[in-house]
Amino acid sequence: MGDDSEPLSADREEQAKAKPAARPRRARSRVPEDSIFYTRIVPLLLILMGIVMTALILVALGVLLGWVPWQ
Amino acid sequence: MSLNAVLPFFSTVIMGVFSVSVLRRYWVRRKLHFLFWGVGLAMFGVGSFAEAYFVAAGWSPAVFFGWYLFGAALNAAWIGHGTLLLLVRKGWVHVLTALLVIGSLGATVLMIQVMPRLNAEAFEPGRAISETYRDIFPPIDQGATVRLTTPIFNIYGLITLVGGALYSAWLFLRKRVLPNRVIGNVLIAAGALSIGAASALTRIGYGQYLYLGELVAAVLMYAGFLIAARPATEEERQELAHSGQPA
Repeated sequence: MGDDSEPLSADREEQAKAKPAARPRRARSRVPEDSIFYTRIVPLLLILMGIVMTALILVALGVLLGWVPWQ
Repeated sequence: MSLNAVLPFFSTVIMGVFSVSVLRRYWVRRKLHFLFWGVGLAMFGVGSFAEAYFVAAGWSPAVFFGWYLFGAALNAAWIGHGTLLLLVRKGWVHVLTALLVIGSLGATVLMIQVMPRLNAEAFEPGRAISETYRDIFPPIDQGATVRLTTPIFNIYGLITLVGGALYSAWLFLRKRVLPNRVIGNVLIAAGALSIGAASALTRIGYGQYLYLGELVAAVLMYAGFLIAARPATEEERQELAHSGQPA
């Protein structure tokens, strides 16, 4: 979710690269270069949440396929 | 009064405000992903409202219909599909849109079919509906086929909503721009995982955590949405002010 005014997808990123002259550059806030939060903690959180997501998908699949007892 | 008797009221208010805010964006911008997000969030709100209703007013088959179909089965898939519509602009996404709508109609028919077979006597006013719904439904082979559809919708919702938010956060982090969108998407993913975990626990027999998971999800996702949608620079703030778009 989030706003839709920025290129979020790889597709739109490629479009942006293909027509650099057509896209006026906007002033954007930047992620701080030397921030431990953004260089260490956020990437770790993304990895952890990816693992939890995979585990939840496996549990749901297990329920669906009968591997996990259906209550 | 137990905590579970209070939590759904807060979730209902938050999801009501959240879904109206997103649907207003759809009204102004006419972009399909806002519609799917708004409808999905409204479904989430219906589920929370149903839980609050059961606490305050007791049993109602119509409210149970709304609670299971919208609150348990469909909402994650609709919110997640909104994220997919935002991230991917390919023709096959419209095929998935059609499948989701047809699948949702199919689940609605299955839910209508099971309604006459519900066991209202299994409802217990003092207990969370997520702990008693299994006894209210008949067994799956005796009509509660709709329950088989729920994991399918929820797996799809989990992949698209959580996966989409994590992917967006990673994109902005990699490009080192718009830290508000990084944080916003992390919060949205965390909120979606919270309700996903609570739903998984409910499905394996621990329904007492569902209401807490819903409230955490509502707070984190709404906070994430507000942070991600917030104009990050003065230029963006001025653009937003001139366009007259809702915040």
